[in-house]
Amino acid sequence: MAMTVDAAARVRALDPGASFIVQAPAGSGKTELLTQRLLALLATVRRPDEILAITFTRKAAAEMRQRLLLALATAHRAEPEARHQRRTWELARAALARDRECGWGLLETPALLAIQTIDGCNAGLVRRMPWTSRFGGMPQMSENPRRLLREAARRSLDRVAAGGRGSAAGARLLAHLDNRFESLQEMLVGMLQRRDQWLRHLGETGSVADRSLLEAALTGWVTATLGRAANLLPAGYSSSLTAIACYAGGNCDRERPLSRLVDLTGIPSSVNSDLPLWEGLADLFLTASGSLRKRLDKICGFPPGKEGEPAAMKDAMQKLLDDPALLPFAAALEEVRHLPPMVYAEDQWQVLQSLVELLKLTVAELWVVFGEAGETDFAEVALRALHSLREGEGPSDLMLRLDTRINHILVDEFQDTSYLQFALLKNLTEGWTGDDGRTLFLVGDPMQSIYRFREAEVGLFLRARDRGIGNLRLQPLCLSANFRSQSGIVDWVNQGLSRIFPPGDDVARGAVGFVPAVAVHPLLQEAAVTVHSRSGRDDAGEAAAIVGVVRQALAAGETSVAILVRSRSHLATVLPALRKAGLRYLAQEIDLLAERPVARDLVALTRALLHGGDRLSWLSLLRAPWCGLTLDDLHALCGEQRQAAIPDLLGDTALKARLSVSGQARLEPVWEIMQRGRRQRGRVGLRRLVEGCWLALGGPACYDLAALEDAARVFDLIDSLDCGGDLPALDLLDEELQRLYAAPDHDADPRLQVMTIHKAKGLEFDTVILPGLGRRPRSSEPPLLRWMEHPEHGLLLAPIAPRDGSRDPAYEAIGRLEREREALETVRLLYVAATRARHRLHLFGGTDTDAKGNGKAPGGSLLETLWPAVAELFTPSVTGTAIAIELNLEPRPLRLRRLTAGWRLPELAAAPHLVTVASLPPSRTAEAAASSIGVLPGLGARQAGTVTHILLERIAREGVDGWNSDRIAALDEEVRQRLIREGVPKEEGGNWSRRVLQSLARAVNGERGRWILSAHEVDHCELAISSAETPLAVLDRTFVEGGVRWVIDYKTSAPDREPLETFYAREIGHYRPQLGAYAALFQALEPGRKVLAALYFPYFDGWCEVPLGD
Amino acid sequence: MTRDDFPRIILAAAGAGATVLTANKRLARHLLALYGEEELRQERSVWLTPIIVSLETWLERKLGDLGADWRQLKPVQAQRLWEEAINRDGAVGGLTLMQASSSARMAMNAHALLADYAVLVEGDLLGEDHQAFLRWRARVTERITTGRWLDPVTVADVIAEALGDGRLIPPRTLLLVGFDAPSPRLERLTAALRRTGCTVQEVPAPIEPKGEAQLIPCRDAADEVRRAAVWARRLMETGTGKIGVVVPELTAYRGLIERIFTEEIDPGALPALNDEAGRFSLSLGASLAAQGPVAAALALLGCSFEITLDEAGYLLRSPYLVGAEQESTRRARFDRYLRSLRRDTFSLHALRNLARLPAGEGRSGGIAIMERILAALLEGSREHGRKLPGSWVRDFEELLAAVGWPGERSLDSRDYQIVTAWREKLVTELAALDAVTGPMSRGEAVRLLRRLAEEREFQAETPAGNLQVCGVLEAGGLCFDHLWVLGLHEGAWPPPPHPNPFLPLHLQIDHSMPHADAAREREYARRVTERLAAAAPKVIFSYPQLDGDCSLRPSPLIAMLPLGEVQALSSHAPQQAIRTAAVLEGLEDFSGPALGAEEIARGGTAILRDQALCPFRAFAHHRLAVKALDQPQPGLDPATRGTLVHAALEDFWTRTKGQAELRALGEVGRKERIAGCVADGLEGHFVRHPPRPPEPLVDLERERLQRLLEEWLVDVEMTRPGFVVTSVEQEYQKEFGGLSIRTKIDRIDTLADGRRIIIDYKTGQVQLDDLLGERILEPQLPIYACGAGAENLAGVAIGQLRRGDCSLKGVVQDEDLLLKTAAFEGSRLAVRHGLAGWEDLLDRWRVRLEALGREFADGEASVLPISAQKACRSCDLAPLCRIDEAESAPPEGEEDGHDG
Ligand code: SF4
Repeated sequence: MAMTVDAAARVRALDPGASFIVQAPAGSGKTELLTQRLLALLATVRRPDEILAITFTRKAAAEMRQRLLLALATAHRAEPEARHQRRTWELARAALARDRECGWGLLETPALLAIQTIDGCNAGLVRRMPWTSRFGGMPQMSENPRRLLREAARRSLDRVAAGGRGSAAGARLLAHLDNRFESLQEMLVGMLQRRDQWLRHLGETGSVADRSLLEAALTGWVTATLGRAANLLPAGYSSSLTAIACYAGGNCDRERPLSRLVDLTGIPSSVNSDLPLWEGLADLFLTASGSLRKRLDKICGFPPGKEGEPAAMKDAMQKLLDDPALLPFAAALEEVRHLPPMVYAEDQWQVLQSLVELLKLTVAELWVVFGEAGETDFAEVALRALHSLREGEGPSDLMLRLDTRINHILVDEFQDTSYLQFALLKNLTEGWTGDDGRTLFLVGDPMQSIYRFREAEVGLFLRARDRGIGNLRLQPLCLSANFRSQSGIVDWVNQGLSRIFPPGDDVARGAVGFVPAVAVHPLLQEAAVTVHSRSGRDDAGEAAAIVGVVRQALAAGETSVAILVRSRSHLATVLPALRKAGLRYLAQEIDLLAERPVARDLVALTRALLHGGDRLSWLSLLRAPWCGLTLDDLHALCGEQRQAAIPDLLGDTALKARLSVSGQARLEPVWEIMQRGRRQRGRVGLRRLVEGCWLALGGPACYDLAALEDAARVFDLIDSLDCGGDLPALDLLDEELQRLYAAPDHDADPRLQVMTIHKAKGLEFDTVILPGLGRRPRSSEPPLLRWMEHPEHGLLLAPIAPRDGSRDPAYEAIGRLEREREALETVRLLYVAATRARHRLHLFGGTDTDAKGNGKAPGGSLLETLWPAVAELFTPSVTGTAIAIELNLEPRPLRLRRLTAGWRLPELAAAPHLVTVASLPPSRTAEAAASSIGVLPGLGARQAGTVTHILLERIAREGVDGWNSDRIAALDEEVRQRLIREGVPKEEGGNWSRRVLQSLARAVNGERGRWILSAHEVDHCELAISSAETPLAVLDRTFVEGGVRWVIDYKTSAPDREPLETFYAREIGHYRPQLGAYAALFQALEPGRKVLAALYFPYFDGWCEVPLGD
Repeated sequence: MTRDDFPRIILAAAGAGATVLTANKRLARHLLALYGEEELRQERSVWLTPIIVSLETWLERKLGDLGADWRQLKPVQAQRLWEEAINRDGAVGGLTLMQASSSARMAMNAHALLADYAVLVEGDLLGEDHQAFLRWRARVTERITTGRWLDPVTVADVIAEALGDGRLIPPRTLLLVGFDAPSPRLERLTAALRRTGCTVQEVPAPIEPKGEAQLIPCRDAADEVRRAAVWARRLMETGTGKIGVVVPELTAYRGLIERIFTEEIDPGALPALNDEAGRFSLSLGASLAAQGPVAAALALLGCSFEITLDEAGYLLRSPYLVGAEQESTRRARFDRYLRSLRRDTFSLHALRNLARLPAGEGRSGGIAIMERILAALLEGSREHGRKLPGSWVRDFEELLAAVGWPGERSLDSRDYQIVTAWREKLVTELAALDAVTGPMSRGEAVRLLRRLAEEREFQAETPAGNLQVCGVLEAGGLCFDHLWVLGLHEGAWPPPPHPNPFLPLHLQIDHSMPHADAAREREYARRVTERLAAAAPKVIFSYPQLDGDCSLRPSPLIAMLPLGEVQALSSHAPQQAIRTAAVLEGLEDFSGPALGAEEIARGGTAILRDQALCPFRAFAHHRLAVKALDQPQPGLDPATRGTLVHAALEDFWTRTKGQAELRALGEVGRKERIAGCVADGLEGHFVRHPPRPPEPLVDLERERLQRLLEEWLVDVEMTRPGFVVTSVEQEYQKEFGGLSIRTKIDRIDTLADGRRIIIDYKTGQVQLDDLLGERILEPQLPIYACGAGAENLAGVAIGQLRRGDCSLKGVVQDEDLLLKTAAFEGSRLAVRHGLAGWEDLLDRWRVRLEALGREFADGEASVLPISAQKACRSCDLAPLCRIDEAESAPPEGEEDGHDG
């Protein structure tokens, strides 16, 4: 490869002693640069974990790690030919040398490399600081934090009904929102989702917002805007303008803002009370829609008149309107017109106050909810990480807390950084001076900042570039070589697309100017960029035309074709058209899993298994392909039983007889499977239950191959929601499904891909197709609170207007600022989309027609933004009609499919089963289990028995002679403690310990007891015996006395007002099998010795021999 | 030592009376089993059990011999002490520790490390977390001393000391088996033993001879497990011998292994729902809290005075309560009824009262047992005092008995084991806290119980086969005939370090504490890999190449192994087998039976509306009487609020005869009357539809209704041309195409000229187009206009009752009949819909309504929505109608913003 235009910058960027911020436009090869810098740094550090590299996604982190390791692994090979590879090779060799010198063993220990996502980095920080972060231990990352947020919102709104702190605030807000509980709850959830942005503004403690601070920000912003407007009025116009204004003000309707100017004495000042006058001035110059007045008439203060004052004034005004020097002033007036007052109105302030109070309470509830669930979200981790870093003072303390020293930080995709991440970075680099060997390296492309909805703030890139981070200054570098696209694309972007960019950077507005690129690849034949436009919205026609372009591109040998959209819904007609045309595409997160038939059926099956009263799910189950009942049969089954639970009807043989014969045959196996499934509820996990029934029904036979993958996703979800074999909430499965996407088509042509523009970021394709540019985005629910962090004036904050049709000026004004930023981001989104293309770019969109019959872009569409770049290319054409006819997209009644009658499950054979000899037998069979559940000894008796056993064993071991009643009595504390350890409630400990002590005392004093517990001829204290049938038998007491082997079991029971004989007989009956088995063991072990067995009852020194043999 | 010598040496020593201590229980069990096999081979049927136990068990026994075992804190007790110490440290920055129990565990671990390695931290430069740990530790130590307990971390040293001073008799010979890296405390113990003259022999797991090792890259974790399972099955089919599958990250892989191994080895068990036969053993169980009976018990105990609809639903569905079988579908219907109330919370009190109600309004009644359960729960939730955990255990047991837990269904073996674990292991553990903790609230006791259940592992006892799946630690010292080690990607092996956050890092590294740094983990992993490579004659190592969209590389410790042959999968999984056996047929099912003579179609105007939107929808809703279960809503749900508006307006226009009277009322009179109507409406509604919501909610709704009515009356009714109210909520019936529709007309007004206008109230946004199109989506007004009232009708109008946006939108014959509404003839609306005038409109209505009625009566039920947007988006029937199967008509949802 030849020397690139930006070679010098690429070399500078490798200086390990300096900090940089690198602007790297699309296709400029920044990953390579990052890898090189990492290698360069590795050669200089003492430990690899002094370097922290932060990427945007896990995938990017994995890629970077692999690149790096690959470079290291190939460093010992011969020097490569290519120049840019050579640089990497050299750097890798140096890094490897350092590795050897310090004995890191990087290649065997990749964990030494700290390459992480920002979320991973945050998690690492809080993991190291369980106390400072207040997490206590790292909670799980919730799969669906929204559920937890909603629970927190619900709890805080519950206060309205329950009373207590926050109830008044909640009630006030509800009244403000027309008592729409559910929308207030949703708005709170929305706010919680973005709490990493606003929380810091509300302060850590107290529930009252600081009014003066907020109003100062408003005032600052309004004043500055007014001041700027005043400055735009060229010198010398003031007096004539004042005169005209007074005149017009006096001549117009009293209602108009203009009329306020009647007593004007000069250009209004920038104080709050002068705002109405400014509005008057705006009214003088501008029409309601914000354009310069074209006609001067009575309505706008200039009554007709051929001469005299009316004529003169009208003339003078016309001159002002025609004067180009006044244009900037007039434009500024439009901005002024939408400024809010500098102070909050009283009721607005009350609402704001309530909102702040409620939000804080909700955040506190959220903490509790997180704790209960043992889960949290990324925002919380980020907030806590930042909090932990800020706790305490000074960098030395930080090092202590981090327990490591970070000397170099690299951040990729820095254009998509958020305030929170920025703050984190600032804290991590606190005290860095720029010449102390510690460096920061930020890479990104502000032109590709498209994650505003994830709090990305492109202004931060500009700010870091211009003013550094904290005290650390960064050297700006700019790459300009484009290694991706052919010259035709690069040229069009440089000349065409560049026109829609703002003229220059502006931190406050989040505006980023265009930076041209230089193509490395040469120009290709034929047009690089093609515009396919049509007049009006014609989705079917557009889809057909897209099919045409795809076919053509694939035929021309393009290795990758991508269809990129702003929103999934723009594909609604394109995808069916592709399918109809036989083009199998690879869709990345496009189709919702919940809308796949297999998922619907699985949901219905799950709900039917769990809920007998869910008629919809039961009937869906019966109409699904595995059963396929007709509408006639369904009606025969339940048409007259409008309230009944379907399982009740299915159990009714007489009713079922009314179904068609084939219907009955279809129903029977399904009903059997469902009955079995309902019987097994709780006994197997929910996934097993549903999947088992699905398999038995023949579920996998009912769909195409891709559906198995979709089914697997649903089952995984079911598994993750399982709560004891049921769902914690019946609707949870439906709800959670909404956030999953269907699996990509197995048999897709890998060359054809479909995804959102956001997903495509960082990727490249030969041909890129952008459909639906003429579509309008959906308007979103207005938030409860609007805020904006103004770089100069601080926080602007306003609550939503009451639900009575009125508007809140501050809220609206902030909304305008947001829309402006949104519009700027749309430009960048188009830049990202266009720069994905290596060879060709195709733009599709329908135009509206304006009053004069000319094409114009629909308002709010991408096309509107793109218009200046493509207007001349946009001539409505109609292509694809032939294809549209071929594909026939007319709707028809839906036809179904079902398993044929009499379909049977294939045989499923198990592997041969080998039970090894020494395995444990199953504890009990089901029947035995069921019958014995009632006789489990209750809490207390069992534990007292255990403790008695332990102590009897000890007495026997030590020898009973050393024991008397006093020594037994002294065991009181021990016995109590032992009982508690075993689980006897402390309050009941007294009774049981008395019983234990009594038993022990009777045993050591009793005749039998002494005999049993004293030493014997052959005596084992801890004797365990094994055999094939009994893996481990531990005996209470056994010894040989007088040539007889005694096997004795202790029992803590006692007769309950019954003759002793009855009691003994019962106990013998109970324990004979067990003692018989023990005796048999000894018979085998000591052949020829006589074995006797007995039960000993210490509680009353009772004793009975147990007859052995049959 | 070789693979074969290893067990031989150990068993011989054990047979000769040596004490064998293993690194874990599994290894002890394994060796005992081998010993038994050997005895049987020698034709001895009974033998004395040799002393082969895990180190922990042995220490415990020795402590018992000292008579000190009862002083040792049980782990749960110790953890409780730590938790209390941590909680006492209090809230900082307004936040209590979110996971005090996991902090407690980590702190205990730090404490154990310090004791194990006999290290002091006090002199170190400490961060805040380290300092916090020291504070907690001081507190815990102090409590242990005053309680005269024995700190578990000191046990090994206590035993070592007792061996030294002769209080304990040492064994003559002792073998230490399977310790990968002996810890300092173990070294101290062996030193003490050696001093007593005991022969201590360390028998590490063999690392020779190396088996023949291969590396198999797999697509992802699922593919990897599938390959291992297919491999295992083939071995089971072809031969005998012990098969081992070892997994470093067993916790992460557990679910996959359990599922896929079952699919491959016992596929028939899945559709049979048979969970008894374990054909392989897995060394890691699931949490006890996740098991059916325990989850049900915890849900029951967790009920507070107020419960959510979801909680109530869970209890109504649970098979673990008494009556669950008998009342099964009646409980389900009760749940359906509760949902139809669309509340998200209920007090137990209200719930019990609802359960008492007789059948009606969709209730089936007949749930007396459930009512008793609710009463018992109510009783239980009233406990407000503070008690010791053990006393709560008593209460809990009583409550569970009262609600008939674990149900009337006979327990299968697994459930039996679970219930036993609950009774013998779990609640006793909670009660054991009586020793260390004071009285607590009921809620806290339940939370503790839940946590204990979550932390306790449960595994059903099943006969072990010759296939074992276990983690790396449990595999220590085990030998197999065939071994597969899976999950060895770069990020998992060597395991990433995770130092203890409560100890300074450099200290952990300096003392080479476990998990402290990457280098130590690498050495550890290298040793383990070596021993695994020698654990069988043939060993397969595998790793997944993908995790989601991240590509993974093999662990550097196995990357150099020769690549194994990747064989085609011959899977036995049931999914594939069943799919291959598919035979499908087409089905054209476009209509149901025609409406029978006896069959009355309920549903009123909604029938025609549904029929217009989509014929199937009308059939399903009104002939099959099927609809989705209602969803709970926070606060008062929108439907109820709409009903309340209607009721208040009905009342108002009953009391007020027309515009003149409205005007005459004056502001004060009007407001008074509004207040009266609203109040009566609210009272009446909640008497008819209990339970009454909490008072603050009723008050809020009252104010809202007053504001809305005031706005409506002032902005709309007072400004429009004069009228007299002729009727409100009048019933009306008419037949269309053989279908009789019964409906109510919200209002009929008579204008000054004697002609009439009918009005329908709506609380949402209104579009007149829905009234005029080819398919009539708002049939209410047309139905009436086609009938009796037609001749004298001047127009129809929809009253849009929305705060800030109240208006009366309508279609009228002449101008000035309604505010700002032009005559229909020639209006933009008429032109757009191709209608010449008023009569033309009436004609269209008649024809279209007739057609719709006939379609419905004929049973026409095609799945043919007028548009996905208008029909399907607000329809609950998608699972039944199967619209998603339509290739050409995917839902065209609204355009949305970003979906990243
Ligand atoms: S979802 Fe659509 S197609 Fe299905 S019944 Fe409802 S309206 Fe008809």
